Amino acid sequence: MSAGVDRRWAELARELEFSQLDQLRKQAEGWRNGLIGLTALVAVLAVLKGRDDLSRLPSPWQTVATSLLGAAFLLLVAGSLTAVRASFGKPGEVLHLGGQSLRKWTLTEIRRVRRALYLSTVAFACGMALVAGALGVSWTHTEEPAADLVKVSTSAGEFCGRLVSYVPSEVTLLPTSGDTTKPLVIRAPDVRKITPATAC
Amino acid sequence: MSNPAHDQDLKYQQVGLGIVDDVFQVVADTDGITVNGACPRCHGKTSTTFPKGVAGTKGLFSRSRAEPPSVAEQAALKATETFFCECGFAHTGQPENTLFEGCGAQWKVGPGSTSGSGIGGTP
Repeated sequence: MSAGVDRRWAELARELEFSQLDQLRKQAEGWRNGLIGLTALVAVLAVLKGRDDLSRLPSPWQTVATSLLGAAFLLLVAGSLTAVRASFGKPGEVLHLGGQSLRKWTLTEIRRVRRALYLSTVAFACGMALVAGALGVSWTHTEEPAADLVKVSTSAGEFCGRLVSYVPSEVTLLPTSGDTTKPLVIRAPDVRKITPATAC
Repeated sequence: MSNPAHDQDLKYQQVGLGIVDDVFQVVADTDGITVNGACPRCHGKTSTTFPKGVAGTKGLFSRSRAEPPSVAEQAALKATETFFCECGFAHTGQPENTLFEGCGAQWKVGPGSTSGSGIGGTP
Protein backbone atom coordinates (compact mmCIF):
# COMPACT_ATOMS: atom_id res chain seq x y z
CA MET A 1 0.00 0.00 0.00
CA SER A 2 1.32 3.45 -0.86
CA ALA A 3 2.41 5.94 1.79
CA GLY A 4 -0.37 8.31 0.70
CA VAL A 5 -3.07 5.69 1.24
CA ASP A 6 -1.62 4.81 4.65
CA ARG A 7 -1.71 8.48 5.59
CA ARG A 8 -5.30 8.83 4.39
CA TRP A 9 -6.46 5.88 6.49
CA ALA A 10 -4.62 7.23 9.53
CA GLU A 11 -6.21 10.65 9.04
CA LEU A 12 -9.63 9.04 8.71
CA ALA A 13 -9.11 7.14 11.98
CA ARG A 14 -8.00 10.30 13.74
CA GLU A 15 -11.01 12.26 12.49
CA LEU A 16 -13.27 9.42 13.58
CA GLU A 17 -12.03 9.93 17.12
CA PHE A 18 -13.74 13.31 17.19
CA SER A 19 -16.98 12.32 15.50
CA GLN A 20 -17.83 9.23 17.53
CA LEU A 21 -20.80 10.73 19.31
CA ASP A 22 -22.38 11.87 16.03
CA GLN A 23 -21.79 8.42 14.59
CA LEU A 24 -23.43 6.77 17.59
CA ARG A 25 -26.39 9.13 17.48
CA LYS A 26 -26.93 8.39 13.79
CA GLN A 27 -26.67 4.67 14.51
CA ALA A 28 -29.19 4.94 17.35
CA GLU A 29 -31.53 6.94 15.10
CA GLY A 30 -31.30 4.28 12.41
CA TRP A 31 -32.04 1.49 14.84
CA ARG A 32 -34.98 3.42 16.27
CA ASN A 33 -36.46 3.86 12.78
CA GLY A 34 -35.83 0.20 12.04
CA LEU A 35 -37.62 -0.93 15.16
CA ILE A 36 -40.56 1.37 14.39
CA GLY A 37 -40.74 -0.25 10.95
CA LEU A 38 -40.73 -3.64 12.61
CA THR A 39 -43.68 -2.64 14.76
CA ALA A 40 -45.53 -1.58 11.61
CA LEU A 41 -44.71 -4.94 10.07
CA VAL A 42 -46.35 -6.74 12.97
CA ALA A 43 -49.46 -4.59 12.53
CA VAL A 44 -49.56 -5.33 8.78
CA LEU A 45 -49.24 -9.04 9.42
CA ALA A 46 -52.09 -8.85 11.88
CA VAL A 47 -54.26 -7.24 9.17
CA LEU A 48 -53.18 -9.62 6.41
CA LYS A 49 -53.60 -12.77 8.42
CA GLY A 50 -56.74 -13.84 6.61
CA ARG A 51 -60.47 -13.44 6.48
CA ASP A 52 -61.46 -12.28 9.96
CA ASP A 53 -59.55 -15.04 11.67
CA LEU A 54 -58.24 -18.53 11.13
CA SER A 55 -60.73 -20.21 13.41
CA ARG A 56 -63.14 -20.87 10.53
CA LEU A 57 -60.61 -23.03 8.74
CA PRO A 58 -61.20 -26.75 8.97
CA SER A 59 -58.82 -28.78 11.06
CA PRO A 60 -55.71 -29.52 8.96
CA TRP A 61 -55.74 -26.19 7.12
CA GLN A 62 -55.92 -24.17 10.31
CA THR A 63 -52.61 -25.69 11.43
CA VAL A 64 -51.08 -25.20 7.97
CA ALA A 65 -52.08 -21.53 7.77
CA THR A 66 -50.95 -20.82 11.33
CA SER A 67 -47.58 -22.47 10.70
CA LEU A 68 -47.10 -20.54 7.46
CA LEU A 69 -47.89 -17.25 9.19
CA GLY A 70 -45.64 -18.05 12.13
CA ALA A 71 -42.72 -18.90 9.86
CA ALA A 72 -43.39 -15.79 7.72
CA PHE A 73 -43.43 -13.61 10.80
CA LEU A 74 -40.10 -14.98 12.02
CA LEU A 75 -38.51 -14.59 8.57
CA LEU A 76 -39.74 -11.01 8.14
CA VAL A 77 -38.58 -10.00 11.62
CA ALA A 78 -35.16 -11.60 11.04
CA GLY A 79 -34.91 -9.98 7.60
CA SER A 80 -35.80 -6.56 8.98
CA LEU A 81 -33.27 -6.80 11.80
CA THR A 82 -30.59 -7.97 9.37
CA ALA A 83 -31.34 -5.06 7.03
CA VAL A 84 -31.16 -2.58 9.90
CA ARG A 85 -27.86 -4.12 10.98
CA ALA A 86 -26.55 -3.77 7.43
CA SER A 87 -27.62 -0.13 7.24
CA PHE A 88 -26.55 1.11 10.63
CA GLY A 89 -23.97 -1.36 11.92
CA LYS A 90 -23.87 -3.29 15.13
CA PRO A 91 -24.47 -1.20 18.25
CA GLY A 92 -21.68 -1.02 20.79
CA GLU A 93 -18.83 -1.84 18.45
CA VAL A 94 -15.38 -0.51 19.38
CA LEU A 95 -11.85 -0.87 18.03
CA HIS A 96 -8.51 0.89 18.36
CA LEU A 97 -8.69 3.89 16.07
CA GLY A 98 -5.59 3.42 13.98
CA GLY A 99 -5.43 3.69 10.20
CA GLN A 100 -4.68 0.03 9.55
CA SER A 101 -7.14 -1.21 12.17
CA LEU A 102 -9.81 0.96 10.59
CA ARG A 103 -8.91 -0.27 7.11
CA LYS A 104 -9.05 -3.92 8.22
CA TRP A 105 -12.36 -3.37 10.00
CA THR A 106 -13.79 -1.56 6.96
CA LEU A 107 -12.95 -4.46 4.66
CA THR A 108 -14.52 -6.92 7.11
CA GLU A 109 -17.58 -4.72 7.51
CA ILE A 110 -18.04 -4.53 3.74
CA ARG A 111 -18.22 -8.33 3.63
CA ARG A 112 -20.65 -8.38 6.56
CA VAL A 113 -22.93 -5.75 5.01
CA ARG A 114 -23.02 -7.54 1.66
CA ARG A 115 -23.92 -10.82 3.38
CA ALA A 116 -26.54 -9.13 5.59
CA LEU A 117 -28.16 -7.48 2.56
CA TYR A 118 -28.32 -10.81 0.73
CA LEU A 119 -29.77 -12.58 3.77
CA SER A 120 -32.37 -9.88 4.41
CA THR A 121 -33.50 -10.01 0.77
CA VAL A 122 -33.85 -13.80 0.88
CA ALA A 123 -35.67 -13.63 4.23
CA PHE A 124 -38.05 -10.98 2.90
CA ALA A 125 -38.83 -12.94 -0.29
CA CYS A 126 -39.41 -16.18 1.63
CA GLY A 127 -41.47 -14.39 4.28
CA MET A 128 -43.74 -12.78 1.69
CA ALA A 129 -44.13 -16.11 -0.13
CA LEU A 130 -45.23 -17.73 3.11
CA VAL A 131 -47.70 -14.89 3.81
CA ALA A 132 -49.11 -15.38 0.31
CA GLY A 133 -49.38 -19.11 0.94
CA ALA A 134 -51.20 -18.55 4.23
CA LEU A 135 -53.57 -16.11 2.50
CA GLY A 136 -54.22 -18.66 -0.25
CA VAL A 137 -55.04 -21.35 2.28
CA SER A 138 -57.25 -18.96 4.20
CA TRP A 139 -59.20 -17.82 1.14
CA THR A 140 -59.65 -21.22 -0.41
CA HIS A 141 -60.50 -23.25 2.67
CA THR A 142 -62.50 -20.92 4.90
CA GLU A 143 -66.05 -22.22 5.23
CA GLU A 144 -68.92 -19.84 5.12
CA PRO A 145 -71.17 -20.34 8.13
CA ALA A 146 -74.56 -21.62 7.07
CA ALA A 147 -77.24 -19.48 8.56
CA ASP A 148 -79.84 -22.19 8.76
CA LEU A 149 -77.84 -25.05 10.28
CA VAL A 150 -79.23 -26.24 13.60
CA LYS A 151 -78.57 -28.92 16.16
CA VAL A 152 -81.65 -30.59 17.59
CA SER A 153 -81.31 -32.43 20.88
CA THR A 154 -83.88 -35.15 21.51
CA SER A 155 -84.30 -37.98 23.97
CA ALA A 156 -83.00 -40.32 21.25
CA GLY A 157 -79.88 -38.28 20.51
CA GLU A 158 -78.65 -35.22 18.64
CA PHE A 159 -79.46 -34.41 15.02
CA CYS A 160 -77.83 -31.76 12.86
CA GLY A 161 -78.91 -30.35 9.53
CA ARG A 162 -80.49 -27.54 7.63
CA LEU A 163 -83.75 -26.38 9.16
CA VAL A 164 -86.52 -26.85 6.62
CA SER A 165 -89.60 -26.21 8.74
CA TYR A 166 -90.73 -25.86 12.29
CA VAL A 167 -94.37 -26.34 13.15
CA PRO A 168 -95.90 -27.01 16.59
CA SER A 169 -96.14 -30.71 15.90
CA GLU A 170 -92.75 -31.40 14.31
CA VAL A 171 -89.32 -30.15 13.22
CA THR A 172 -88.02 -30.98 9.76
CA LEU A 173 -84.26 -31.05 8.99
CA LEU A 174 -82.34 -31.74 5.82
CA PRO A 175 -79.18 -33.69 6.77
CA THR A 176 -75.85 -32.34 5.48
CA SER A 177 -74.26 -35.79 5.28
CA GLY A 178 -75.48 -39.17 4.09
CA ASP A 179 -78.70 -38.93 2.09
CA THR A 180 -79.04 -35.15 1.89
CA THR A 181 -82.26 -35.30 -0.13
CA LYS A 182 -84.31 -37.17 2.44
CA PRO A 183 -85.81 -34.85 5.10
CA LEU A 184 -85.56 -35.89 8.71
CA VAL A 185 -88.77 -35.31 10.68
CA ILE A 186 -88.59 -35.09 14.45
CA ARG A 187 -91.72 -35.03 16.57
CA ALA A 188 -92.08 -31.91 18.68
CA PRO A 189 -92.62 -33.72 22.02
CA ASP A 190 -89.22 -35.41 21.58
CA VAL A 191 -87.38 -32.13 21.04
CA ARG A 192 -85.48 -30.85 24.08
CA LYS A 193 -83.39 -28.11 22.57
CA ILE A 194 -82.70 -26.46 19.21
CA THR A 195 -79.41 -24.53 18.81
CA PRO A 196 -77.85 -22.82 15.80
CA ALA A 197 -74.75 -24.59 14.45
CA THR A 198 -71.81 -23.38 12.37
CA ALA A 199 -71.09 -26.88 11.06
CA CYS A 200 -72.47 -30.39 11.30
CA MET B 1 24.54 5.31 23.67
CA SER B 2 22.92 8.74 23.76
CA ASN B 3 19.96 9.53 21.57
CA PRO B 4 20.53 12.05 18.75
CA ALA B 5 19.14 15.53 19.37
CA HIS B 6 15.87 16.62 17.82
CA ASP B 7 16.75 18.11 14.42
CA GLN B 8 14.39 21.07 14.33
CA ASP B 9 15.99 22.54 11.21
CA LEU B 10 14.81 19.61 9.14
CA LYS B 11 12.22 20.68 6.56
CA TYR B 12 8.79 19.06 6.57
CA GLN B 13 8.51 16.34 3.97
CA GLN B 14 6.01 13.51 3.66
CA VAL B 15 8.45 10.66 3.31
CA GLY B 16 8.06 6.95 3.95
CA LEU B 17 10.92 5.42 5.91
CA GLY B 18 9.78 1.83 5.38
CA ILE B 19 10.23 -0.62 8.23
CA VAL B 20 12.35 0.66 11.11
CA ASP B 21 13.83 -1.02 14.19
CA ASP B 22 11.47 -1.49 17.08
CA VAL B 23 12.74 1.04 19.60
CA PHE B 24 9.27 2.04 20.69
CA GLN B 25 7.52 1.62 24.00
CA VAL B 26 3.89 0.60 24.23
CA VAL B 27 1.67 1.75 27.06
CA ALA B 28 -1.85 0.36 27.24
CA ASP B 29 -4.88 0.93 29.40
CA THR B 30 -8.61 0.47 29.11
CA ASP B 31 -8.93 3.59 26.97
CA GLY B 32 -6.42 2.63 24.31
CA ILE B 33 -2.84 1.92 23.30
CA THR B 34 -0.07 4.52 23.14
CA VAL B 35 3.22 3.99 21.29
CA ASN B 36 6.10 6.22 22.39
CA GLY B 37 9.55 6.66 20.91
CA ALA B 38 11.75 8.88 18.77
CA CYS B 39 11.05 9.79 15.16
CA PRO B 40 13.61 7.96 13.00
CA ARG B 41 13.96 11.06 10.80
CA CYS B 42 14.03 14.15 13.02
CA HIS B 43 14.68 12.25 16.29
CA GLY B 44 12.02 14.24 18.13
CA LYS B 45 9.98 12.48 20.80
CA THR B 46 6.83 11.14 19.19
CA SER B 47 3.77 9.62 20.76
CA THR B 48 0.85 8.07 18.94
CA THR B 49 -2.33 7.05 20.74
CA PHE B 50 -4.87 4.60 19.35
CA PRO B 51 -7.95 5.20 21.47
CA LYS B 52 -10.82 2.78 21.58
CA GLY B 53 -13.68 4.10 19.54
CA VAL B 54 -16.82 3.14 17.68
CA ALA B 55 -16.36 0.90 14.64
CA GLY B 56 -14.92 -2.53 15.56
CA THR B 57 -16.83 -5.38 17.07
CA LYS B 58 -16.85 -6.74 20.57
CA GLY B 59 -20.57 -7.35 20.87
CA LEU B 60 -23.36 -5.48 22.56
CA PHE B 61 -22.44 -6.47 26.11
CA SER B 62 -18.70 -6.85 25.75
CA ARG B 63 -16.94 -8.08 28.85
CA SER B 64 -13.57 -7.00 27.53
CA ARG B 65 -14.63 -3.38 27.31
CA ALA B 66 -13.29 -2.57 30.77
CA GLU B 67 -10.12 -4.62 30.37
CA PRO B 68 -6.85 -3.28 28.97
CA PRO B 69 -5.76 -4.80 25.65
CA SER B 70 -3.74 -8.00 25.88
CA VAL B 71 -0.02 -8.10 25.15
CA ALA B 72 -0.74 -9.92 21.90
CA GLU B 73 -3.21 -7.22 20.90
CA GLN B 74 -0.66 -4.51 21.67
CA ALA B 75 2.03 -6.30 19.68
CA ALA B 76 -0.34 -6.86 16.75
CA LEU B 77 -1.30 -3.20 16.67
CA LYS B 78 2.33 -2.07 16.75
CA ALA B 79 3.22 -4.47 13.98
CA THR B 80 0.39 -3.52 11.65
CA GLU B 81 -0.12 0.21 12.11
CA THR B 82 1.70 2.92 10.19
CA PHE B 83 3.26 5.55 12.45
CA PHE B 84 3.70 9.23 11.67
CA CYS B 85 6.08 11.71 13.21
CA GLU B 86 4.18 13.52 15.93
CA CYS B 87 7.05 15.34 17.59
CA GLY B 88 4.81 18.36 17.99
CA PHE B 89 7.30 20.74 16.38
CA ALA B 90 6.11 22.72 13.38
CA HIS B 91 8.91 21.90 10.93
CA THR B 92 9.37 24.37 8.10
CA GLY B 93 6.91 23.77 5.30
CA GLN B 94 4.39 21.87 7.40
CA PRO B 95 0.85 22.18 5.97
CA GLU B 96 -1.57 24.11 8.15
CA ASN B 97 -4.25 21.49 8.31
CA THR B 98 -2.14 18.40 8.97
CA LEU B 99 -3.40 15.95 11.57
CA PHE B 100 0.15 14.82 12.42
CA GLU B 101 2.30 17.67 13.65
CA GLY B 102 5.91 16.73 12.97
CA CYS B 103 8.50 16.39 10.25
CA GLY B 104 6.22 14.43 7.89
CA ALA B 105 7.96 11.05 8.19
CA GLN B 106 5.99 7.81 8.34
CA TRP B 107 7.17 4.30 9.09
CA LYS B 108 6.21 0.83 10.16
CA VAL B 109 7.77 -0.98 13.07
CA GLY B 110 9.61 -4.17 12.18
CA PRO B 111 9.13 -7.40 14.09
CA GLY B 112 11.86 -9.17 16.07
CA SER B 113 14.06 -6.18 16.70
CA THR B 114 16.91 -6.24 19.11
CA SER B 115 16.15 -3.52 21.60
CA GLY B 116 13.58 -1.55 23.38
CA SER B 117 10.44 -3.36 22.24
CA GLY B 118 8.76 -2.64 25.53
CA ILE B 119 5.16 -3.68 25.68
CA GLY B 120 3.58 -2.80 28.92
CA GLY B 121 0.38 -2.56 30.83
CA THR B 122 -1.26 0.28 32.62
CA PRO B 123 1.24 3.05 33.35
